[in-house]
Amino acid sequence: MRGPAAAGAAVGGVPMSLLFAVPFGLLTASIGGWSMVQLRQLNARMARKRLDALARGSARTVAGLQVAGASADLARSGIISLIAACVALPTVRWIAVQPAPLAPYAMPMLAALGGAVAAGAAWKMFHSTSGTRWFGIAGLAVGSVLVALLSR
Amino acid sequence: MTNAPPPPVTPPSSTAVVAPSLPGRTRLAIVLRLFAIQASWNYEILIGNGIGFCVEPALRLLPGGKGGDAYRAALARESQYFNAHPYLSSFAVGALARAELEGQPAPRIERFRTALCGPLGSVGDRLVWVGLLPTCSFAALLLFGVGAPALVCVVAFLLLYNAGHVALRLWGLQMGWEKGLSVAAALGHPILREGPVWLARAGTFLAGAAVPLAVMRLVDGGGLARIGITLVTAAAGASTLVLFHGRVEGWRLALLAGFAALVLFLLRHA
Repeated sequence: MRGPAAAGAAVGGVPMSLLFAVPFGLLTASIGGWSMVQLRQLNARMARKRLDALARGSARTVAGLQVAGASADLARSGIISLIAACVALPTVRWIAVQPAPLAPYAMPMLAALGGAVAAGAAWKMFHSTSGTRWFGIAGLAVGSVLVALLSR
Repeated sequence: MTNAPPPPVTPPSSTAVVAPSLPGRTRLAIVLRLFAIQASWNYEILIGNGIGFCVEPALRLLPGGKGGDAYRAALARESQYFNAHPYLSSFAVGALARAELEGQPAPRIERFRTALCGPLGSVGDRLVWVGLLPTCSFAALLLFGVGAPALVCVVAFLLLYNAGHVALRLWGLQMGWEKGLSVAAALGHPILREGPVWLARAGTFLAGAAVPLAVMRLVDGGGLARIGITLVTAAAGASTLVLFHGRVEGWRLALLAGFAALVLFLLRHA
């Protein structure tokens, strides 16, 4: 991992690659979520056609729906992962060797983004559960003290 | 026609037939099937087919065996619409398996099945999606912040989260089988009643500690000023997310900002 010490570096390296990889990972996850909705609609169509068999207590139908759903899910996730890997791996390698004078700012940018998302998620937790915010504040105090001590 | 609420679920009467013990092989088959309970999740009967799939090994013990009238009637009953949290569905699977083997009346089982959906869904959402999952994520983030290799953080998250949901499934199946139609009382167990609160507290504590440490590691070598600027920026971003709560999701914002930054950085170079 590079930091500001790499300010004079000629190429983007890991920070610039990560600046691509993190949003691309989120995009892939988003496509995964969309495809899951499609899969559930497909499962619903299959189930709808077999409601009579289910009402007769057909073990073959019950197991068949489970196996079909699991197989389709495996294919769905496998195809998305494969396409994502085929796009991301060469791109990451390409970005890493491109000149990028602003690369030292990439990691702080990512850290700020990740920190914002994590803090937003934590807020959801203590917002929905009473008496929890003080634990978050205590954790923040512990973390900040450790940062101050370790940064010396 | 009135829309009267379903009658409350009551414990089994003393006249109920004593359930046979669940053979180890049957129990193992149910446990393994619990991991695939969502395989056919759909917008028609939700997790209903999964419940039928999981209970099915126990139904083979009914009089007439597999394919018999009792078996087919019970499987048809258990494969109808059902909605609950997938991990806590094990409570329902255990309880329904026992109710079927005890020979409880069909209308009673159907009412019980309907009544279970709500509590198992809400408790599971609070315990797992709001509690266990983010808490495990923040624990892994804290590990990263204190210097653990990335692979160790990922493995630690997977171990913690999987240990949690496997234990929950096994415990739920056991409780469901032990309590049968009285399993609703088990939903008042301290783990389910207090667990979400304590997990949320642990999660927020870990989040508070993990975010500054993880930021420090990511901006390694930048000194306190750089870490401070990054943390203030993160706090501003988090405040924006809180402000737009329910309208903007954090990951969407991160996706847009990340790609925008990447384009900006590459354009500056070009």
